[in-house]
Amino acid sequence: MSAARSQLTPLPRLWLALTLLGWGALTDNLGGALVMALLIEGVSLGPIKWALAEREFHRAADLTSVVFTLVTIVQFSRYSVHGIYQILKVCPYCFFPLVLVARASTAQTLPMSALFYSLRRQQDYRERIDIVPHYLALCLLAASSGAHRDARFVLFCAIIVLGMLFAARPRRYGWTPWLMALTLAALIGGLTQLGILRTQRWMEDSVMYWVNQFPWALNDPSREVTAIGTIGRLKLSDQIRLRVTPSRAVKLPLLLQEASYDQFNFGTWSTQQAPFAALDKRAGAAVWELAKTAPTPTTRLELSVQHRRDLTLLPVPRGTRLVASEEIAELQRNRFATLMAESPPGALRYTVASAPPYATEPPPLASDSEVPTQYRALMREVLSEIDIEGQAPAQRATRIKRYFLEHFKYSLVQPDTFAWRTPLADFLRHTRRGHCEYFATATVLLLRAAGIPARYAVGYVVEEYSGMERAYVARARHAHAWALAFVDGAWLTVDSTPSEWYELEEARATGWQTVQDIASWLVYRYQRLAQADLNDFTDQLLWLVPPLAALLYWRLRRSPLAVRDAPGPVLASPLPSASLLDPVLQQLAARGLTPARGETMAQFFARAAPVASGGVHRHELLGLYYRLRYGASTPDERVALGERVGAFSAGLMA
Amino acid sequence: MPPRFLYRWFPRAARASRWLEQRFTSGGRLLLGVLVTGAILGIDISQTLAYQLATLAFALLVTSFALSARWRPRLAVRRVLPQVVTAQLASHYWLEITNLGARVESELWVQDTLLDPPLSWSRFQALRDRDAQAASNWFDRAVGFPRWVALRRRLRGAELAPVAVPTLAPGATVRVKIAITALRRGWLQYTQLRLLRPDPLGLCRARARFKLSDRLLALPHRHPLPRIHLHSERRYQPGGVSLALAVGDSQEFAALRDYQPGDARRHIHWRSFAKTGQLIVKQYQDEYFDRHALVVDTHLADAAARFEAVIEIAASIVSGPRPRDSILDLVIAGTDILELSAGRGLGDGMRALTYLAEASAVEGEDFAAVAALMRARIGRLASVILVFGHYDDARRALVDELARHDIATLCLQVVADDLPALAPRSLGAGYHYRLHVDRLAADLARLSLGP
Repeated sequence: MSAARSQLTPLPRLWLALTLLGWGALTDNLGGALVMALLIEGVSLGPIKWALAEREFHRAADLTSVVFTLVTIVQFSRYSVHGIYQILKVCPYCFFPLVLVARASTAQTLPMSALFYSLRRQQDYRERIDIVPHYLALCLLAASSGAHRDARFVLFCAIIVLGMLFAARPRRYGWTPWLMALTLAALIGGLTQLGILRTQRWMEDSVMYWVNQFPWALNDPSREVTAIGTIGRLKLSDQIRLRVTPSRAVKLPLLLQEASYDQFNFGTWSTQQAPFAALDKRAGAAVWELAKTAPTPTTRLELSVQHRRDLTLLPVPRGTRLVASEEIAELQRNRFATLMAESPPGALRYTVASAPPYATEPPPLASDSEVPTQYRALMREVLSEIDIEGQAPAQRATRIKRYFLEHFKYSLVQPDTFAWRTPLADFLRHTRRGHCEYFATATVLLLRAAGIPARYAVGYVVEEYSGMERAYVARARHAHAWALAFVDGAWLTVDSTPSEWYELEEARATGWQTVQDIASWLVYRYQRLAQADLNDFTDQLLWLVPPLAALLYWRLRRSPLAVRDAPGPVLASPLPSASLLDPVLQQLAARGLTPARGETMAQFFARAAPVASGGVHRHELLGLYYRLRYGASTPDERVALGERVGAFSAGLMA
Repeated sequence: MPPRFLYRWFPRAARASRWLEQRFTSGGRLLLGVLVTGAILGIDISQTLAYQLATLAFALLVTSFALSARWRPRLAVRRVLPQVVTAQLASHYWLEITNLGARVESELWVQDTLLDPPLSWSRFQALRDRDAQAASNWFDRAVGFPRWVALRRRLRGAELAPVAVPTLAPGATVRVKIAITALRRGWLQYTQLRLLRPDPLGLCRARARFKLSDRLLALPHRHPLPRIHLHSERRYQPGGVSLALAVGDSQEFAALRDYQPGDARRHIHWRSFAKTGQLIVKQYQDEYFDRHALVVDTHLADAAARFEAVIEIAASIVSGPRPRDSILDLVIAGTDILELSAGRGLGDGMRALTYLAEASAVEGEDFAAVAALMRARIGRLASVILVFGHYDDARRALVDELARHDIATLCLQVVADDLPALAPRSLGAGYHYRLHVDRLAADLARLSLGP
């Protein structure tokens, strides 16, 4: 209703502050809520208001829009579609400037043109809106996204809504109808809540049953074949994938293992029967202990990995015993000690602590010793060239490694292969050059043929230090593959790729790498700001709030727009004649009938008083009153008026 | 251009919006918004607790709605309307509400209602295209609903806001002031009004309908005009001496009325101004003699904006200042003739304004009939004011013929494009001006008419 839009909705005192604090408590934003509550109530109760023009309201609305847009972008980039709830959660922050400006203004309301840009072109549009009730509703909705799943939220909502209903309740009804209506509403609410919960449970059961009836329901989280990290990974990009900051000097090059596989078929390494299982978090901290009986970790690394999906494999050094990160929602591990983290896409930062020995890794299975049938003859043939007969397993592994280092060359270019030979046979018997995947695969198969259980591992080699990043970086082309051999009860790293591979890869760096690095660094900084660093950043900025608020208040106080609340114009003391009608006015006031502003006594009596009461006609009463009011009455008439007023009010009382 | 299937939903959407505004208080509408938003956000109850808030809102609204389902008030309502109002000028009327019941009635609202004239698809298209520039945002351009609402409002004639009724004792009567600004000229048709009463929770309102038909005439909007001095000569008038004695403004006081642009400042009633803060003028019985005619071009069915401008100019001339020896007693709009003087009775400006308020555009281009009407009365006229929406050969021929009879002419032509202003015609004492439809008030104020 247009006429009602400009009116202020009645609210209990300090209700806005209470709502903000409730929202803050339920969503873990109590600090921010407290600051906002103090600001809004300080401005509301303070003696100064500002006579703001529409332009200022528009600016406040524009600021709100900008803040809201930024928050939307950041939250969506952090949480993708779940960002809706995260945006909702912080909405009271975004819209606070608008409410503050409204409460600080002399008008107390916002022009509708502040909310709708198209209305700003309509000069004659003058409607206004009281934003505060809407903001209260927003706070309630925002609090619903809090993590607390107990009765606190519904209690909070009930208190705030009841307070609003109480302040705006129609006075034409007594307490009984109001309380009865509330009781009825509580009953309906309780039954509805129960119905919703039962319906939801029924739907969940029915829908899951229905979905599982179809063969295309393949999204089984326990599937056993993974395609992650197959051979053929591209190694040509300069893009920075990994940033590593060690707590102390570490031995370079540093191998960070992402995954390991046990089965090789048709050029693809894979795992079977290796489902991921969630690991338990340490109580009260975002820390996962991978080995319970670990000695004190000796190497601590802070890592940051770029990823594009919610689930990502974590590159970690071997012997990792502890992973810590506020940004990981869930950490999973399979039987190959591969770690998979659930985290919003972007730059995921985590800390790992590692220490030898690596005996915590699970022992080999039968599949770790299998050589695929098509490669058995080839492996026997190659092994015959290596003198390993009678050697201990450790020496066998060393000899196999030395065999590759002495007789093979690293190359990113593969000559044309012959169709009747497998690429691996071609590599071992003829070309003797290839990239790390050839070396690693051939090493694993040779080790197995030599009776040593082995696995294929992939990850990154970290050797390059970036002054700009102040960290070691690993680019996409630094991805590497190597073999793991189970020797003397522990898994050993057997990297048989000739060491010049790193220099050869470096030589492939393009001229654009510097530019790309700067861009990458900027993107990384943005991602960090959008993610966990934002909290640190804002926490640091919070210290600036009091001095800046004081400065702002000082400036605003001096603003020519500031209007100090003057006490309302002192009404002239009521005319002596008016007091003569007091008994009648009091009786009428008891029935909820009071003179409106600017209403004459004749008009008021016409709508509020009966035609006659106590045997006195209201025209007679008013006639005597007006004669006295304008100084035309005689002493007798004055006495008569007193008598008539007494009789009239007695009649009303009866 | 909005698709036609959407257009069918416009009336339903407007009805739903009106129902929401009347049936729910501002608090109720807010809670309704919370219910819808909470239900959407809370659909996944494992992600958010918004469904609990939605449930709370639902329970309160259902209770409130049920408690306000029926209401039969013991109240009587009557409209107290003024004689006329003027388009685009703020005015007011009163609703007289009497409490016939035995209990005090408080916190009531009253919503008066004007008849919504039908708006067909073809008419909507025509009117919408005319107001294409009025589209304020992309939604309006794509869907057209805001413009449909605006057009309906203009056709209805006014937007009446709900008004709070003061607390009313049993048996008492109160007058509630209803502000009204007519958006167009012509008759405004009242059909019903509704009294609204809040429920105990203050979220919904019970509605009671009172069928109450009334009509209120909105006169055309007028603009200030300079005094028009046309060359004229006295001619024999059938009105005789009784008319000749009364030429000019008589001093016979008729009534007080609201100030309208163009009223003489000396007629302002300052005491009323001091009391009410609004300009009130003394209205006199206009009595004129020396005869002039006003020809209003109504053959403008395809140019509604120009037609309205023509009517506004005519109304401004009818109610505007004139020399004392000048009388306007003949208005020709299309083929209708309004004689302002008949026998001994003198017509006043109000009759002419009423006539113009009801005038409607005529289809076709048959201007010859207008010329024939003029020819029949040419001997009695001293001068003629012609207001045209366009200027073609037939209209030029009429002006030339009047000039040949030594009748002074003032030709005001409303144009929609920026053509250069015409210099006063050299033939006789004729003037010809072009007035732009979008700058009517400014162009009229700049007119240079007379010595």
